Amino acid sequence: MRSNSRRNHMIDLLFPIILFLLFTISAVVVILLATRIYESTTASSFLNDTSRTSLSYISEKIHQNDSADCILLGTFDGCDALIMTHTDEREGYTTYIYVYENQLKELFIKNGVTATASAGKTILQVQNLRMEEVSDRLLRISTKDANGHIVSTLVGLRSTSER
Amino acid sequence: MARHTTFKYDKKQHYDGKLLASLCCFLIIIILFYMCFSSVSENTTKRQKEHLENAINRNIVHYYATEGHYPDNLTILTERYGLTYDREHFFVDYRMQGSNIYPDVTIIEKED
Repeated sequence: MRSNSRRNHMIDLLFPIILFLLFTISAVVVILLATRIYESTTASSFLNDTSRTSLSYISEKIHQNDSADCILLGTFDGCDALIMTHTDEREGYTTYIYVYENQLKELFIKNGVTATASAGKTILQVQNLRMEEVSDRLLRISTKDANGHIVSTLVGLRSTSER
Repeated sequence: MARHTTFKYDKKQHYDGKLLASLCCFLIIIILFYMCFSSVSENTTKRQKEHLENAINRNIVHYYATEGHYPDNLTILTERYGLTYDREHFFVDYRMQGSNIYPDVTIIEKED
């Protein structure tokens, strides 16, 4: 006489499979959430870092190239640019610092040579970087940090032209 | 007797078919796994190179903003600015062009 105690039901197969799937999906969701949180944290800290570094970089660039009438604000290939002409051993060359597609770029190029804005060397990722002349010898550079706050710095030009 | 032989033959054929199907499934899974693994591995190397390039550029800019000139060589960045990278996989060619001109950095991926 055969016992009926071991009857095979569909649920015997489906239950472990569903349980395994639930476990897998939960694990994947937890990992995805963790990566999203990590990504947003690093992105905001990166933006905070780059916004301040970009201001320091431009300030230092101005200080290092500050000679009479060599620094001016203008445009380069349609982008607002900080234009630095050189009078030292780099005479005949110009450095352009500008923002192109949310990237702070620098281009060191011989005078008279035509180039597009995309040709510059990418320095940093920036957000809403602006350069303006506050007064005759004072420049204001501002950008936005990760929280959307505007951070800015004032840079004074020390060199004078012999007029 | 003849019927009994046919039944045995059918059962064996059925068993062989199942085995073949299982082997095929197993092979397909192995091939898919290998393809996924190599794709992920290739993508990871590409991302590593990108991250290294960004890290070097960030360190150069940070160095310039602090010191007022570009670093003379890459060793300064590895020693003072905590730059680390896998030297067995990447070769970094750092060419200084002047204390006030952005250096030329090329990252070359070494072949295994």
